[in-house]
Amino acid sequence: MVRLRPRLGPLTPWVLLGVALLVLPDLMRTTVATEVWIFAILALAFNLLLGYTGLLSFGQATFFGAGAYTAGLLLIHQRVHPLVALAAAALAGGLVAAVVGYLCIRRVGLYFIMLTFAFNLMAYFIVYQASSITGGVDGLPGVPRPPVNLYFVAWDIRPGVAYYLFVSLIFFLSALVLKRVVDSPLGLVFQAIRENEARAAALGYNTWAFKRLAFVSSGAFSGLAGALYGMLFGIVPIDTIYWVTSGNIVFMTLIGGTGSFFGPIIGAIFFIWLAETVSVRWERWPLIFGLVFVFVIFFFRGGFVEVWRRLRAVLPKSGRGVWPDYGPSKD
Amino acid sequence: MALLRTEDLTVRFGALTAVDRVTLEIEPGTVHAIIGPNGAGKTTLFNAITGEVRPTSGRVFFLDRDITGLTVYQRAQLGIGRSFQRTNIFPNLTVFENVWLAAFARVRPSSLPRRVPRQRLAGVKDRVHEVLAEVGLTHRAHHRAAELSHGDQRLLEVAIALGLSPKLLMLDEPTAGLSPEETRRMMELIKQLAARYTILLIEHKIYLVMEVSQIISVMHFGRLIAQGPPEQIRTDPAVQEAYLGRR
Repeated sequence: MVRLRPRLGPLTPWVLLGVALLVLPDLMRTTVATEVWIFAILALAFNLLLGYTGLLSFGQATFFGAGAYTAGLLLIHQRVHPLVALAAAALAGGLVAAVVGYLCIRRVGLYFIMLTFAFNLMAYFIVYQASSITGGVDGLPGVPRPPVNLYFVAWDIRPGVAYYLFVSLIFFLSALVLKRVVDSPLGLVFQAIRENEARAAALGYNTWAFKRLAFVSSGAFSGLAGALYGMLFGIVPIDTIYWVTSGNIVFMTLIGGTGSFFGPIIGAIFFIWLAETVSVRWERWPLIFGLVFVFVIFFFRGGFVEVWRRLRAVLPKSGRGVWPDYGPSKD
Repeated sequence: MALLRTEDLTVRFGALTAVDRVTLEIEPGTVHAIIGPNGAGKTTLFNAITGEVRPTSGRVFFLDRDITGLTVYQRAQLGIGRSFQRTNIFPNLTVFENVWLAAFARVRPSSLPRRVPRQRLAGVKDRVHEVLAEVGLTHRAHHRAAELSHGDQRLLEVAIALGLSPKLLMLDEPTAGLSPEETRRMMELIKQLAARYTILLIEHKIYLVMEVSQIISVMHFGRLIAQGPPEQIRTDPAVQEAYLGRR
């Protein structure tokens, strides 16, 4: 029997991911480790657009920021339940993406990229101007982290480690959902659009509607990440909606590898680690990142994941030859 | 009732009239071929029928419904399936996935989140196996489409159109760039398909056209200059002039 794709793919990457979630706080400060997984959600959401649907959005910070400010304002003024804040942030990210997507999706290539970028700048200046609500350049301070009240127990997520667990959980669930999406029939239609949009339309798919759907889904997950970010630092800095953040999301995804589902996560780990750890010792850290980026683009177009793939092709495996796929047949 | 009808269909690109007042009727159950020298406007006519190109004037009717204003995907949903002259596949997806996308489009072309019943998904899968067996690509099902030989890619091109189970199957030069051996294979396939599909065919290889089609329309400089059964077209003086030049 032919299966389209295995349900959640091979188990190995999920196990590795679990291990990474457990050991990361030992390798860096808890805050930094928490930030890694927030950006991992962003990178996965972005890769739904770039890697799967073939849309290079240079305005992901718009949705990240929309989520961050929505959750921040709700938490400060209404003291809502953290899960309500997350849901509202996802909704806000999705709604903003629906508006931006509606206006951008019909343009392709460079025009699409520039439009998403332009809307990002607009969103930034709106937040900048509305300083009585958003705090303007100074950011929105005083975002609380109320306990997660479930029916029988209240989980205090104020301690750093508890919040790390909370974010890990949200990240893991997001990754599961996104993986299900890309492996579903819907995910295959997204890939068909990336591969050949005209042919997908000739099959009867309303490709604009599908691209909008990908855009809104990506926006919703980005908004969710925004809420987690504001709660992490207790403030929503205006950088969350600044275009540089959009660029960073693109960079970390590319460097991790757009050709696989898990690649962007590696990119997020590397980028945040570099930004938060190395930057303390050496303020010109973007130089390292730039060099690595250039190196990857020149030699490993598939990102870190491709380094792994090539290593695996060269390294001998038990029971098989060095070149299992190309060697002469044994019979 | 004609399955497809065009009325004075005209497509102009600037000063060039690629399709000039073409009125055409495709009867259900027939193989209808369109022939003509290079640049006669055959592919443009195809594109105007499928919606890839907006006609300058004229109308297109499918099952007596005016579809002139519909988009490409809406026409595909009505049952117009086509293959392309220049191979137009999903290169990084497998052969199976390529055809699966076509078969799935018949079940759920909308992007609205709605669950497709398991049974219908199984039906889609059966359809893919059926089509792959029919064109002879079963053994390639799990190869990336880009890895196929040109001949197999042409077969895949037809298989994708078949996956749609179209009411009208439009084949744009299915034998383009094929070796004599591969051409024979494609010909056999088209003969098999002729029993079950209404086919509109663009083809350059005249002997193939004469063999498989019931009606032939001849285009020259965007106009229909002759139409009729193969024997009649063979002896038509206007056709000979278009192909061989004025004597």
